[in-house]
Amino acid sequence: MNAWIHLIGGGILLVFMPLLIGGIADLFAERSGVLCMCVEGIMISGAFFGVLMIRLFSETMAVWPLLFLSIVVSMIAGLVTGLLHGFAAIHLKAEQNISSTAINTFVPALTMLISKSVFGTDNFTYSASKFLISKVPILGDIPIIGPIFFQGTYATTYIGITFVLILWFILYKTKFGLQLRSTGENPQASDSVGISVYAMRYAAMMIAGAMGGLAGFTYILNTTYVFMGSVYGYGFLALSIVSLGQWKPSGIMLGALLFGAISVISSTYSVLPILQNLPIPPVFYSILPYAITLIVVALTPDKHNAPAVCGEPYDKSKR
Amino acid sequence: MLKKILLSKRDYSGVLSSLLAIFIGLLVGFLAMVIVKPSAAIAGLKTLITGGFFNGLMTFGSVFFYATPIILCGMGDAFAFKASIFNIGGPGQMHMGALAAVWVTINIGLGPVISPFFGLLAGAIVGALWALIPALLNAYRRVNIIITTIMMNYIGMFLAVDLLKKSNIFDNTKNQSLAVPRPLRTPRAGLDMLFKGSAIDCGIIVAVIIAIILWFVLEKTTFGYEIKAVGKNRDAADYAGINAKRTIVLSVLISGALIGLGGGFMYLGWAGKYLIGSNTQLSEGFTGIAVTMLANNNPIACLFSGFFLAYLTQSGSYMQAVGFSPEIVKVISSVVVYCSALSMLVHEYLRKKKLDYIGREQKGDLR
Repeated sequence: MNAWIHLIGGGILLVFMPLLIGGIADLFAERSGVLCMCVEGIMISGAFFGVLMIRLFSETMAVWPLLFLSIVVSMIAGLVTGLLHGFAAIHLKAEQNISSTAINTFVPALTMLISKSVFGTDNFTYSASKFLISKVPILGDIPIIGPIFFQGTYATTYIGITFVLILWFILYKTKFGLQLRSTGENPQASDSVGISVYAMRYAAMMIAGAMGGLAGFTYILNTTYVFMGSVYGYGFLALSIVSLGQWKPSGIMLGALLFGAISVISSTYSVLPILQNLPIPPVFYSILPYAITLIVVALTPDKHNAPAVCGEPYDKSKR
Repeated sequence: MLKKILLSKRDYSGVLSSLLAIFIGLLVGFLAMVIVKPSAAIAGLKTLITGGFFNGLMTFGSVFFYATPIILCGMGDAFAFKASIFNIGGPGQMHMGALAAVWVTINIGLGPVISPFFGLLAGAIVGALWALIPALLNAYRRVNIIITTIMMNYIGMFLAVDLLKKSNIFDNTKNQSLAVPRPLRTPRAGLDMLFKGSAIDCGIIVAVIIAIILWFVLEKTTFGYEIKAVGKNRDAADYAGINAKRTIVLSVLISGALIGLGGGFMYLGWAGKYLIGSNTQLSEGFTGIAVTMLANNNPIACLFSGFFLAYLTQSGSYMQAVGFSPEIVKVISSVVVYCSALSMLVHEYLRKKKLDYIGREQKGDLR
């Protein structure tokens, strides 16, 4: 029984975490008024530079410093990518869909270019098994909760949860968070009371970038052992969770849970006895997360909870 | 010269910003090569610029072949972008279209010319159908089309590979689609006489004809006007009596059809390209975005920008010899897309210069 709980509950957690962190990243960007369709690109950059560190230093460094280094590097990589979008969106007043698409195509190409020149191939493997915490003492023995949260997990899960809680606090309980949200609702009013709209949006994009990088690293670490220049559309899943969750952290959490469950079905259907015998072709399960996303965004109610000026560059001379 | 540009009635900011984008793209590509492998960077840049003539006219002719799908894809994207609909479903629409085109051509059995004709038609229809769901969702529920098209890209990729493997056009041992029999491939219209041994076919002529038709539709017809009006302001267009929903759906369907057609040309031609039985997206679908951005969404200009990017891609295939991944071309083309964000800046800069110039002239400073 414990094994089943671990397989399903733990499996959900592995996808839940990156989607939650990615969703929070996008939440920050959109709340400040920047449309950030490039979460995918940000996640890929974080994932790439994170696992690159693991691959390069796995022999020379001890386990925990290496994980720490990878996380820091992935967050910096994400931050830089986020700033790239921020610069186009905030300073150049660019069409934000276009600059996002540019980043979403630029980052995978760059990672493949680097990986080809370093390793000679488009993709590279890495071993993450030594980061796996087989069982947290004491907490791992709690029934149900233990097998899900404290057995066979990565430290990134706990780091991610900590970040999410801190960021939730910052966004909703601090002056900075209030100012940041105001620039996404009425930037002219914010400006009139002395808040720098540009500074707020850059801050939001830096947070979004760093979190997106962490999300990408978490996703790749949790779900695979080979990096192929992609996070398989999970950045876009994180985006759709934000609108599904009506731009609220609690909603994003529920959305991430839903998609975590769906991806567990899609990746473990062959060992689940209930699904094994159904006459459904395997391709159905590969398509499932993407098809559900389509349905979810189609059914998402009107956007009256969305930040009012999301996607509009701020122009001082307008009123 | 400067005076001429500044005072002319035509707006040169589009052309100037495209040239700037190309320059910055090549610069970033070069810098990437310097960082990755400094010793070979110069050789890499040389290959990138001259690679299109690697084997003389033979290689150059093939550039036309590789240009056809990305030009069609770029024109398709441009058509939707004109309505401010950001259709980035190129890879999925192309994949499904290409599969339909190859399947129909091999199975329909109507002989040369007619079989590939129906194949290409099927490709266009399936490409349009693959764009239908995102189009409807955007028109009626205002769902962001980037999310829906990206999801359709993944669904299309998985489905196309699965269908390919179950179909009778799959070669199990090579894990790819069967070769289209020579007589059933796209007609070459004598162009292979001009470029001996190259993969050139009638596709480039079709692309030119379609570009002219699209230009005509956009500039000279009511439908084209409606598309542009919806693109400028959807609600205002609706208020003025234009059926915005219908216009959006139609523009995205035409966009998908062109992209599907491009997929057909890519796999029915003479370059020995096969649909692969593993889950990879058709990156040509994304190159189309760079084509249209570079062309400022103008279908005629897409011919030139598509040719330029195809030339780079062809050069990119020789980059392996000097030790670089062909991905360098993707780096360049995505930087080009990013730089199209600069077009606004260039526009503003030119406008300011022009006003300054006129102002000084009126004051008599220039005498």
